[in-house]
Amino acid sequence: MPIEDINASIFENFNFIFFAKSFLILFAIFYVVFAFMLLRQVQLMCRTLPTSLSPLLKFLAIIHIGVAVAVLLLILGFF
Amino acid sequence: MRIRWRRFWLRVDNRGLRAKFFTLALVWHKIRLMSAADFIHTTFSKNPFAMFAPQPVGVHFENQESGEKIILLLRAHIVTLVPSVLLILLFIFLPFLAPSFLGIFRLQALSVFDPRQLILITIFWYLFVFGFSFYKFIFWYFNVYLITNERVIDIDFRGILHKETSYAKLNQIQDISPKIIGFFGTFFHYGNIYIQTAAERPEFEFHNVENPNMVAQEIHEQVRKEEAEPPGVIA
Repeated sequence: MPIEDINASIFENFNFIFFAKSFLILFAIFYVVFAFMLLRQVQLMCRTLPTSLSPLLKFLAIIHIGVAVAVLLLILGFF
Repeated sequence: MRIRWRRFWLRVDNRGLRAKFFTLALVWHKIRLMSAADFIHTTFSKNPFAMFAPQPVGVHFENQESGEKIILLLRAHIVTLVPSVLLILLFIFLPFLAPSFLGIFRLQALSVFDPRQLILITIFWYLFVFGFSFYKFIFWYFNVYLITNERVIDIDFRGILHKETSYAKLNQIQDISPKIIGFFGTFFHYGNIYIQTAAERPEFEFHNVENPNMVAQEIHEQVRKEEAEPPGVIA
């Protein structure tokens, strides 16, 4: 039996796509939580040491949350 | 040599360029003649990314007293970021390397996904890479050491949502020892500074700061000034 066929049968048996989707959704949920924590961290840091770069960093952290949520929704809807 | 230099100079016939060259040469000459203390006291750093920022413009800190000025703001030397940058570069190129890497083991895991799913995975991967880079950057950017005309401050962020700030008044400082260790430290001129204090935290450590000798000299200078002041005066 060629090795390619063994690969194919393994992936069929485990329903690889379902496994990948579950993993991605779980990871994306954790990532959104991480993005929120990162925003809190940036806010805390900017309060401790306000610099000229602080508004930009806060803006980036907010955009980061938005993109993380959007990617989670995309994975839920289109994967 | 002299003739060559003159020829080069005659070729630079753009007056604006000459003026810029003169200004740069003058500034460089002035800096060379300056002592470390003069350099720190006459420079106002406007670079928000500076790792050695004398009198940084537009920077404040929590619990700053009125009249208290930041003399020196220090961050870890940029060379200490090299491992993280290399890791980020690896992460950036990983999606291009993954198919050939999996091909070595004759695994065709990627072929089970359709192009839409592959695009989603790639988007998610690059979001993760951005998040990781941003995380690394903010920790480098906000982990700072401050020397003011009143205190030495160590602002430490360790991991997510963990903040530690330590203060030591200048008149509580007992001993300062700068250390440059290792190849990279010697080559790029950065190192650690160990400050013994009579404050609640007995030892302050400034890790991987640029020009540790100059920093130590400046702390000594500030301590001398503070000791000459009457108690309770902020100047």
